[in-house]
Amino acid sequence: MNKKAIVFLLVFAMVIVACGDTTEEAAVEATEEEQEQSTLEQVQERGFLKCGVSTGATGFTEVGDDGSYSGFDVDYCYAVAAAIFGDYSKVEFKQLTSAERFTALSAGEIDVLIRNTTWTQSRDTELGNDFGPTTYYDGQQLMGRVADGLSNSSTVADIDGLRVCTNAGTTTEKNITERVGLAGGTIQLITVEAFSEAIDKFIAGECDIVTTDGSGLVGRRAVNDALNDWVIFPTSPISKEPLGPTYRSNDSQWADIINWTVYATIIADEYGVTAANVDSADLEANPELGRLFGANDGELQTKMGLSADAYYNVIKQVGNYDEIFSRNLNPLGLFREGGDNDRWVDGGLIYAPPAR
Amino acid sequence: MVKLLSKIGAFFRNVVVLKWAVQFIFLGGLIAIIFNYLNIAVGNLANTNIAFSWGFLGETPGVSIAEGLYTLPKSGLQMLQTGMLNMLRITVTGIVAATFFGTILGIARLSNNYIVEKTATSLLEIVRNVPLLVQILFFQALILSLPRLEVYDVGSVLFHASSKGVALSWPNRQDGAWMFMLYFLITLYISNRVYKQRVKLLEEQGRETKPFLWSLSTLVILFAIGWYGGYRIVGIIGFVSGFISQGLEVLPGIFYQVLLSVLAGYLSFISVRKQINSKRSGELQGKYSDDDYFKMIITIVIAIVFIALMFAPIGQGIAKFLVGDELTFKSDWGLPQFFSGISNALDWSITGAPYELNMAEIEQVGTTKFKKYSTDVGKSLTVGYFATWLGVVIYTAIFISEIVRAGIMAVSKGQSEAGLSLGLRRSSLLRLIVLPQAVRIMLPPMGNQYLNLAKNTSLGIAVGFPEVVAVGQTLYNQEGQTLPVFLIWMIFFSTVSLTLSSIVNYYNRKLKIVER
Amino acid sequence: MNIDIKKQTRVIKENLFSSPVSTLLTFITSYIMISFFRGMFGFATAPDKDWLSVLNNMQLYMVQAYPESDFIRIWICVGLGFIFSGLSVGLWETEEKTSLSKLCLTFSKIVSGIIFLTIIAPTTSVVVSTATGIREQVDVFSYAERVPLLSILLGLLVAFFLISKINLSFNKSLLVSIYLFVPIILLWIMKIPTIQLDAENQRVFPDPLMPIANSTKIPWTLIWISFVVSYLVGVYFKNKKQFKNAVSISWVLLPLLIFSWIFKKPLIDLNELIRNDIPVFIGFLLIGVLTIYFINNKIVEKFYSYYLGLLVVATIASLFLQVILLVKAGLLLLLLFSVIIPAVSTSAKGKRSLTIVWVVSLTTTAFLLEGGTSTTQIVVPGSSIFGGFSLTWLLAIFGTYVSFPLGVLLALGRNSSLPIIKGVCTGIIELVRSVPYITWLFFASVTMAVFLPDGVEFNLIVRVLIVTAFFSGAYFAENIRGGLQSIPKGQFEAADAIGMNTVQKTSLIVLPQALRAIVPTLVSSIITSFKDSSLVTIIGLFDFLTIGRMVIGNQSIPINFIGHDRENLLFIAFVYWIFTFTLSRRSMKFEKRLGLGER
Repeated sequence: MNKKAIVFLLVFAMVIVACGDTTEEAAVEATEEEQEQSTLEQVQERGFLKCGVSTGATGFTEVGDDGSYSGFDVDYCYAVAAAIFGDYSKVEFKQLTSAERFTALSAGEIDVLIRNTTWTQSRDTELGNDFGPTTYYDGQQLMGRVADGLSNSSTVADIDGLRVCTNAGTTTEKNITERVGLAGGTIQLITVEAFSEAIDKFIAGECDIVTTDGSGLVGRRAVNDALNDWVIFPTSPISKEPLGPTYRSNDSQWADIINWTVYATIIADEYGVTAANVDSADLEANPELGRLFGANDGELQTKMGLSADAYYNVIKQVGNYDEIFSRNLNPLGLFREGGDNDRWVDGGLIYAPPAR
Repeated sequence: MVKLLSKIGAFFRNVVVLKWAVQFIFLGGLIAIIFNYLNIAVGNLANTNIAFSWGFLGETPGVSIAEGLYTLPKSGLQMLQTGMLNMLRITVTGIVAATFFGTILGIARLSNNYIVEKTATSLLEIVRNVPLLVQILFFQALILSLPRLEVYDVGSVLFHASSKGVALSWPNRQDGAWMFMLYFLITLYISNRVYKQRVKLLEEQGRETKPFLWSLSTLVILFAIGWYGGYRIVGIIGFVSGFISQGLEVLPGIFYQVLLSVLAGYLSFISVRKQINSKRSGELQGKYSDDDYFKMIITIVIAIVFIALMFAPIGQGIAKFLVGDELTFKSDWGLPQFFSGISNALDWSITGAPYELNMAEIEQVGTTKFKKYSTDVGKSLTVGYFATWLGVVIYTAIFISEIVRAGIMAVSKGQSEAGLSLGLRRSSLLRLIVLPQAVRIMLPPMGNQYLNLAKNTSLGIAVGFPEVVAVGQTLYNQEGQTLPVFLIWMIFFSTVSLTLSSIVNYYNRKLKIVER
Repeated sequence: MNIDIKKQTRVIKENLFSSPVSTLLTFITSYIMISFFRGMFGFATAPDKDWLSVLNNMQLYMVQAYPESDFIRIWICVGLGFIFSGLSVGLWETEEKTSLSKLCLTFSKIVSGIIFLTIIAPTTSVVVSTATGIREQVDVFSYAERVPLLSILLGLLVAFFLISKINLSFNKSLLVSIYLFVPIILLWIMKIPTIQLDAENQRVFPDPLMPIANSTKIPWTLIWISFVVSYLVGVYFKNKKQFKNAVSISWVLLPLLIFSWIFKKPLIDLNELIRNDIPVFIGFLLIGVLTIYFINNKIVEKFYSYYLGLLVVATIASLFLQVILLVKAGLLLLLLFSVIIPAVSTSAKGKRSLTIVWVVSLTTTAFLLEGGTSTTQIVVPGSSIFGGFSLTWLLAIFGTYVSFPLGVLLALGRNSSLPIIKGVCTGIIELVRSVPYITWLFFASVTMAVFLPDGVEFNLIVRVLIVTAFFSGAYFAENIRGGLQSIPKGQFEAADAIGMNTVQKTSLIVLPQALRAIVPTLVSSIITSFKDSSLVTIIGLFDFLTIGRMVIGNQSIPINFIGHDRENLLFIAFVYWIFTFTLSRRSMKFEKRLGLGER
C-alpha cells in the first residue's frame, strides 16, 4: 500500500513540477505594475528580440542545415536587434506560415513581424496591426511553364479554368480571385501552408500555375527550375505588394524604433555609407549622418529609448539598404537598378525622411 | 446559547447540507473562474481593436475554395457551409467504406490460411503504429508522383490516375435521382414487410411460402417500375412541401421564438411530471430525495434560461436564421428555403432515368494546352480529397477489423461447434449464427470509431482539402475573428458527434430487445 | 535444427492449401505481397531518389537548432536512457533460458529471408524524368551486383549452422543486448556518404561508398557498452526489492531530470538559493516530519481538522499570490501528505516509511523546480532549444504527465454521486472529446492568448501542453472509468461500515485498486500521445514531422532538396513505426509480467 501511495503522491507532485518546469523563457510573471509594459521595455528586459520570419522564402528567409538564418527580412531583424541591444545576434527567430503570422503577432508571441507581408488597408485597420515603411516594392505575378503554351505576354485571362496554387491567408488569394473574376473566368484555387508545398505541387503537375509576389517567384525559379522552362507573367504585376515590417498597434515608441531603423539604412545608402566605411565617414561635413550615428548633440536616439549609437551599430554590423539588398537578392536575379526599389534620386521609390 | 450552538453544529453535520454546500461552493468557484477569464478575454479583445462579433458571417470573404458546393462564396456563412459539406462527404462515404473493408480485414485475420492471416496482421501493425497525419501525407506524395495529366490524350477512360487526382466511371445523378432514392427506400421497406408477412404465414400455416423469393421479386418489380418513371410518385411529397414553404415564408421571426419557448416549457413540464410520478409507486411512497428535488429544479431553471435567451439577441439571431433572412446571412439556409429546396428536388414533372452510367473523361481546358478531368461525366477526385479519404478509411478500417475480430472471438465456441455439428458450411455458420451475435458486441466500439473518423477528417488541412477546419482557418486569417470561428467548430463537431452516437445508440437498443 | 520434411509438408498443406478458395487466396496474396515489395524496392533505389536529404539532415531531425557545442548533453541524455533500460532489463530478468542454437535459428531465418528478398528484387525501376515527364526504366540492382551480397549471406548462413552445433544456453534477457549489437556492427562496417560541394558550391557526386568519418560511431558504441554493463549490474542486484522500487520510481522521474537539468543547462543563482529556497525547504521538511511524529498527541488530534482547513486555505491563496514556486508546490505537497498522515502513521514502521517518502518527495520536487524555473543559459541564435525528435518526446511524455492527474480527477468526478459535480465533469469530458485535436491546437495557438491576463505570456509549447492535458485527460478519464467501475461494490460497503468518509475512501480504497487498471492505460496513453504529437506540425511547432515536411524543402544551404519529400516521409514513418511498435510490444510483455489484469 505504501508503495502505491508513494507513486500516487509523486505523480501529483509532478503536476506542479511539470507546470513550473516548462514555463521557460517567459515564465508566469504577473507584473506588479498597474500599466502594462511597453514592447520596448519587455524586449529589453527579456534580453533578446523575438522576430517573426517566414518558413522559407528564397532570398528573404533562408535556413541552413545547421539552423542558421539568412535573408533580406532576417537582416532587418538583425538590424532592429543591433539598434536595441548593440548586438545583432540577440534575436530569436520564429518561423511562421502565412496563415498564422498575424495571430502570432496579436497574441504577443513575437515583437515584430518581418516576413514579406503586404501593407493593405484591411490589415492596417481590422487586424490590430500597424505597418512600418516599405522595404521592398513588389507585385503579384503568376508562373507557368513555357511548354504548356504560356509566355511573357500571357495575361490573367489566359488562366481561365486552370488550377492555381498559392499560400493560405494572403492577399494573393484575394487578388487572384478578384482579377480572374473581373476577366470573366473562374479558377480552382488550392491553398497550402508553405510556399514550398505549392512549388512541389507545381513541379508534380497537380497545379497548373503558381502565384505569389514576384520576388518569391524569381527566387524559386532561380533555385528550382532545372529545365529553364518556367515563365513569369504578366510583365506588369496584377497588384501592388509593398512589403515591410509589421507590429502591434498603439505602441508609438516601438513603431518609431522599427520605422527609423529602416530609415537609417536608407539614409546611409543615400550617403553611400557602408559597413566597411562607416568608421571613416566624414561626420562633420554631413551633420545628418552625425545625428544619425549619435556623434553630435542633435542626436535623437536617446529620446527614443535607444542608445545614442544605435544606428551606427546597425550600419556597422548589418549594413545599409543597398548592402542588404545586394547580398540577399542579387544572386537570385533581382536588382535595384531601374525598378521600384531604386533610390529616389534614380527614379525609384526608396526615400527616407530626414534625420533631424 | 449552547443549545443554539449545538443546533448550528448539527446543521453543519447534516449530510445533506454538507453535500449541497460542497457542491454549491464548487459551482460558485467554477463560475467565478469562468467569469474572470471571460472578463480578461473581453478586455484583451478590446485592446487589440478586434471586438468579438459575428458580422463576418455576412461579409464577403473574397477568396475562392478549391472544391465544394460554393467555390466562390458570397458570405462567411456560405464558406463555412461548403467546408462542412466537404467534411460530411468524407465522413459518410468513409464510414461505409471503412466498415466494409474493416469487416473483410477482421475476417481475414481469423482465417486459417497462414499467408492471408500474416498479411492482414502485418498490415494492421504497420498502419496502427504510424501517425495518421504521416499516412495522409504519404498518400498525397504517392499521387503527386504519378505523371502529369498533360502527357495523356483527351478522351474517355474507365479509370485514370495522375498527379491531378483520380477519375472513375460513375453512375451520375440526373434530375430524378433524389426522388428515386426516396422511392427506393420505400421499396425496401415494402419488400421487408412482405418478407416478414410471408415468414409469419409460414410459421402459422406450416406450408412453404417462399418468403425470400416473394420479397426479392417484389423488390425487383418495384425497382423496374420505378426506374422507368414510377419514381415520380414521390413527387407528391415535393408538392406538399412546396405548400409548406410558401406558408412558412409568411411567418415572421417572432413566431419561431415563441414556438421554441413554448416547446421548451412543454418539455420541461413533462419532464418534471415524470419525475414526480416516478416516485409515486408503492414502496417509494412519494418520498423525494434531495437529488430528485435538484433534478426538478434544474429542469425548470434550464427552461426559464432558454426562454429568456430566446428573446435575447441570440434568440433573434436564431429566428432570423430559421426564417432564412438572406440579407443578414447572404445564404439560403432557412426553413422556407429548405422546404422549397425539397419541392424543387422532388418535382413530379421530372422525367428520364435517375442515374446514368458514364465513363470518366479527360478534356482540354478551354483553348490552352492544359487538361483536366471532366466534372460533368464520371467522378473526379482531387488529390486532397483522395489522400484524406484513403488515409482516414484505411486507418479506421484497421481499428474496425480489431473490433470485428474481438466480437467474433467473443461468441462462445459452443455456438460454432453446434452449428458445424448441424452440418452448416463455414460461410453459412458465419452469416447465420456468429455474426448476428457478434454484432451486438461490436456495435458500441464501432460507434466510437465512427466518431473518430469524423474527427480525423480534420487532418485534411495538411493536404489542402478545404474541410471545415481549413476553411475556418482561412476565414479567421482574413477577418481576424478567432473566437467565433472556434465556437462554430465546437458547435458543429458536437452536433455531428451527437448525431452519430444517437444513431449508433438507436441500433444498439434495437439489438438489445432481441435478447430473451 | 532438425527439419522433418514430411511434417512440414503436411503443415503447409493444411495451412495454405486446405480448400480451393484457400489456395486461390494464397496465390493472390503472395502475388500482391511480392509485387508490393518489388515496387517499394524499386522506389527506394531509383536514381532520382536522394537519400542524402535524410542522412545529411539527421542533426536537424533529432535536435533541430540545439547548439553544437552542447551536444555532449544530448549524448548524456541518450546514455542515461539506455543505462536505465539496461538496469530494468537486468532487474526484471525473466527466468526463461534460451540456447545458442535457437538464437542461430532465428538469425538463420532472418538471413534466409534477406536472401529470398534479394533474389526476387527487381532489376529495373521506373523514373519519371523531370525533363520530359516521361517514365523510363533504368537499371538499379543488376544481377551482377547481387552476387557478392548473396555470397556474404550464404557464408553467414553456413557460419550460423556451424555455431549452432555448440551447446550453450543463456538467459533470454541477454538477447536484447545481442539484438542491439547488430546495428552497432553495421555502423562500423557500412560507409555512409555525405554531401560534397566543389569550389563553386555545386554538388559533386563522389563514389557513394567512399569512407567518410562518421561522427556518431563512438558515442553509440560507448552507449552500447554502458547498456551491457548496467544489464549485468541489474542481474547482480536482481533480488533486492528496494533497488527495484528505486529504479521504478527513477523511471518516472527520469524524463523530468533529463529535460530540466541536462537538456536545458539551467543557471542557478546561489544567492537566491541560500536566501530564499533553502530556508523554505527546511521549513516544510520540519513541519511535515513534526506532523508525522506528533499525530498521536491528543491536542494535535483535536485540532487536526482545523489545521487541514488552514492548509487548504493557504494552498488556494498561494496560487493567486506572489510567492515563489517552491512555496506553492510545498504547500500542495504538504496538504496531500497531511490528508493521509492520520491513516498511515499509526505504527512506528508506518511513521518511518512515511518520513522517508516525505523527505524524498520534497527533495525531488525542490530539485526539479530549481532546474525548471531558472532561466536557461543557452542563447541559441535561432529558435528555442526544443525541436525535432526531442520536441516530440517532450510533448508525448509531459503531455501524459500532466493529463494523468487531470484524467483521474475527471473520472472520479464523473463517478461521484453528487449531481452537480457529476454533471460538470461529464460536460467537460464530452465537450473536450467531441472536438478534434487539431481544433484544440488552433485554440492553443491563437485563441488562448486572449484569455490570459496582461503580462502573462506562455510559450507556445506550454500552451500546447495545457491543451493536451485537457484533451488526453478526457480520453484517459473515459478509459479508466471502466477500471473504476470494476471495483467490487463490497469494497465501498466495507469502507462505509468502518466509518470512512469519502475522501479517505477514495484515497485509500478506490485509487490503489484502480491503479491496477490505470497503469496499462497510462502506457498506451503515452504511445497515443507520441503519435498525436505529430499534429503540432500544423500550428507551426518544429517537431519531427515538420522538419521532414517543411524545413528540408525550404533549405537552400547547402543545396535545395525540393521534390524529395517522399524519402523524408518514409524515414519519418519508419522512425515512428519502430518506436511505437517496440513500446506497445514491451508494454504488453510488461503487463503480463506484472500480472496486471489478473486478480
